Amino acid sequence: MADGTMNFQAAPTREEAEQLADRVMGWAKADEVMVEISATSISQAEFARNELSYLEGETEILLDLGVSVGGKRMRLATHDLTEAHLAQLVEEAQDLASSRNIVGEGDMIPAPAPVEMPEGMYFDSTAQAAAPEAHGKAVLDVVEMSRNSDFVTAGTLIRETGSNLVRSTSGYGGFSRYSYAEFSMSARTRTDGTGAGWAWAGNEDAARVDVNDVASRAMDLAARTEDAVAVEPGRYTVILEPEATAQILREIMMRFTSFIQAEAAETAGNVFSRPGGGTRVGEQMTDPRVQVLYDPYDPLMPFSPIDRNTMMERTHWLRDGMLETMAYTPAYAREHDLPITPNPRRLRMDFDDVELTREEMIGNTRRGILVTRFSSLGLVDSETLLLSGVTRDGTFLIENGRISRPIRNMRFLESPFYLLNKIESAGASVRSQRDLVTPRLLVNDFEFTALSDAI
Amino acid sequence: MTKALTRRDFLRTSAAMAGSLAIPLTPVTRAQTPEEMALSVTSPSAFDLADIGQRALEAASAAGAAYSDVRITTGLFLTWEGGPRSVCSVNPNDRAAEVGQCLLYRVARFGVRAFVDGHLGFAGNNLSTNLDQVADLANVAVGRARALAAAGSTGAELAPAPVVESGFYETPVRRDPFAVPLGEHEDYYLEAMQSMRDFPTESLMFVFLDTEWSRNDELFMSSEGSLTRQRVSLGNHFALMRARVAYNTFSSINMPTKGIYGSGGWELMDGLGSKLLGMCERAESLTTGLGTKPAEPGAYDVVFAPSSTAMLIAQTIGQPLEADRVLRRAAASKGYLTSYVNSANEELGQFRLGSENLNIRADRTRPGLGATVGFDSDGVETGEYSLVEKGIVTDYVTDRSFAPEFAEGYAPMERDALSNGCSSDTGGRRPRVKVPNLALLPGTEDLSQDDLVAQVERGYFVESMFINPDHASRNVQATGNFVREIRDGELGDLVLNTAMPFSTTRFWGNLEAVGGPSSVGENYPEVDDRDWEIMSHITVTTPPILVNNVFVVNASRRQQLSRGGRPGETGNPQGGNQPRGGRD
Repeated sequence: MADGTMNFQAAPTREEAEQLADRVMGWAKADEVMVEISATSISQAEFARNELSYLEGETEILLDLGVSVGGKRMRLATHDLTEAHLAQLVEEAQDLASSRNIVGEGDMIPAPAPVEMPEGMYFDSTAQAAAPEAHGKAVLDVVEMSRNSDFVTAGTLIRETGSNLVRSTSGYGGFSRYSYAEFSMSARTRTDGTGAGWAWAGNEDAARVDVNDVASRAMDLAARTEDAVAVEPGRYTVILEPEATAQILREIMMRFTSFIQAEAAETAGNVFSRPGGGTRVGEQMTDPRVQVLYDPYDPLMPFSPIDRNTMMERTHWLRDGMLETMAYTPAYAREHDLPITPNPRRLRMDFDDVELTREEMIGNTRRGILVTRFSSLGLVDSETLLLSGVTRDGTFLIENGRISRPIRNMRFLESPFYLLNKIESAGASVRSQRDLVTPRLLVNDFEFTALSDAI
Repeated sequence: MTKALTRRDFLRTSAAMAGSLAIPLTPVTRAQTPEEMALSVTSPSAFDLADIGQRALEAASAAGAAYSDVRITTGLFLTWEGGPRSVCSVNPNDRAAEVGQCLLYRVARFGVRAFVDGHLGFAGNNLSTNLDQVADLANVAVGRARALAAAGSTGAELAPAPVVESGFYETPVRRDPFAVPLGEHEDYYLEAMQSMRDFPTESLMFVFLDTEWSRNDELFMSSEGSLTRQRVSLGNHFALMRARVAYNTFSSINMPTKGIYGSGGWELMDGLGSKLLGMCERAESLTTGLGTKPAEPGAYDVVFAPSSTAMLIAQTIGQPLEADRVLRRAAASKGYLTSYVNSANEELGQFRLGSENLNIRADRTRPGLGATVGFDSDGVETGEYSLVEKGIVTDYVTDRSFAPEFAEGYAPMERDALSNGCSSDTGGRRPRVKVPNLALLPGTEDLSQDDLVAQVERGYFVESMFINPDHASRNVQATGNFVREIRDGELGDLVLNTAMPFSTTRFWGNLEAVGGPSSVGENYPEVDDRDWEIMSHITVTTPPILVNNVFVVNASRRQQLSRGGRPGETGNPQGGNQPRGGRD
């Protein structure tokens, strides 16, 4: 940049990022150097009570510099990408690394590996939709629809773009761009607020996020949940919409992050710990028709395979219901001669053999409950991953193969690892959260423990 | 707090500081030179920052903003990936102690908020000292506000607030953690972890210390003429200590690590090793000296230690009384959460949340607490106020954008609708209303925790737990991590798998007794994501409490977990002693 006071205010192009990274690496004298330049621009419009709240946008460009000096490591990250600052930063990183006392092993950077970016990660249409006028217009249409309806609504429309470059002294690295758009909305009946609905859509391509469809679905649920009646808590057959399944799976993913680290399972003790010591790798944990995995090249949820520690590959966590691997840090992997396996950032759940529609599931249910989604879930017992949460925004009683009435929300107590052993059938997997792909599930003996007053 | 400088004075004195840190340092802080940590990067001068702020305000005004403000944050954030962690175990092969890898962020962010016809636009970005780029960002903020203004919807207004022409605040610190050599950081943590690793035990204990040091220099300027600067230092540390009741069993107790969190400096870590060893000794005496038993379902009198009470206060009182939640204005950024308050204005001063023993104060001024700052993100000087008095909700958690919406509710109390100073987050993020530090006022009688326990014939004592409120915080499920039986006024065995489902208003309505002034403790619920730009880490100051008629259930389901399970193999359908069909 010609003017030394100028800082990047938008994502650098690939060429700009590479030039910047090369300059930083050129200044460095450390044994090993890794430079990562990440950029994110998020534009977000929010409305509530049928009024626009705000339109905001935040851009963040971060340069992350990792160095190893004689086995002493340091990582420094900065928002200031001016040349003078970065030159100082390289010196600072090397000085700080040298001031450390603990000498670790070298080879902090993976060997170079060819990388092919997945298709469908980036769409220009999403970047264009983030322009203030387009963004404002999209959300204004929904607000207008709400004002002319019998509902009080709140919603958030997000458009995001970003890029990431990794360069290193080993030659490992690559460049990626991504985009993402998401809209969610809640609706309550205007009269007494006893009807509540919610809907969601998210995709890398903003053109595939149908804002009006989301609004219509949320309002439809709100209309159909008015005057809900109480049913006795207990064990029910339930149909979990993909969004509800995703909330359960998210808890597994979160716990994968903290629990599936092999060290955590072996010491702190959790659902992945084998009684008597070690982990449960190789054990059957769920119905054998359950697959839980991530795959950077998944067309429903593509993401960059470049991780700081390794190139990410299609990884099954549960294959045919069996725990196939845990997350292994570089240190643990080296010690135990295992492949480095990063924590799951995204997860996909598939269910083999059956693919039923919602209507077919309802038709097959004599008495059960349809759950649209849950309130925030909380952990009750780490050994079993027992969770508690409350249904919300569309809970219905199913009787004799049809939805008979809306019912009041209820608190549940279940472990994903019980639930995934009680699956009767499932639908096709769909994108159900930004980082999750899940099917609709028909589950037997799902336990509700109490009624909830929350609407 | 010092507020002696005018804007002109500020610019003049800051000019003399050009090239130094953005905030004038106290003598104590100045004594710790940054070079001790080998930090060589210089930050923008205070003069440059004020110039940037002024340019942003001018550009926003020229573009048509009726009001604008700019927030600039420069600072440092230090964490250890993989964390200091330690395992002590009866099995020598399990024992471990490590520090992890160091990660230092240099934060430089700024954001402009602009109102056009009552519509809010915000733009945040990496800090630039180039004034053209600064003006561009201001124009983007105005453009966003204008895009919404085109809708012709009802405009919002900011509550009036005193103009602070030159405000200054600095978190008191005894030793700046960023002046402590990095080698000293890691040696100190490693020594503490090794002392725990070597502790003799018959069981297995695990501690993970998630350390986050931040030191943010924040500049706020508004088109109304406010200019505030503050250096906020926070040790946002979180420690989990888990002790199995016996080696090779899963049953465990979780113990909160006290006294390492808050606004302050390296002194927060004083005595880390002895604190961890103290926890080990206590855990060992509990697990080897006490029996364990399952929770027996029923309604009991329960004593909650300050650490548990703090969780309850934060999540069932503080957060549900945030202005956007009571007004039903929270969307995706707050998970569409609502509140047990239905009609915010009508119920202000009327809503009975609990018994007369429930008195909650909100405060962002007391030194050492997690959410303490001199000025909030709206530039409003922080203060202290009453949130709940004698069980009645008397106020909400507000900022300048939400306060006007409570004018109707404040009117009968003859109060103006002014901000309570609860706007949070740093430069690159839009300011958001967030819960401040909270305090449950102690009882007039100086009852200790033991005194409360002595009042219970048969019940439970809860030292550690986590809670799971529903989206309106009306019903809650609390899960005990460290619970003991009370029999005839004495603490007894450890109780495992305890869960307590309750209605929030019924629970606080049954608040029978509150500990006295000498029983008050400070505790630190984490109420938001861990991120260098998020500032809603709070301290709750509270005595222990005694609550009657708490419904206790047994949450154990472990025999139900299918190992090698197949569809239909669901184990024990009753899953222990769980009552069925009950209401919260």
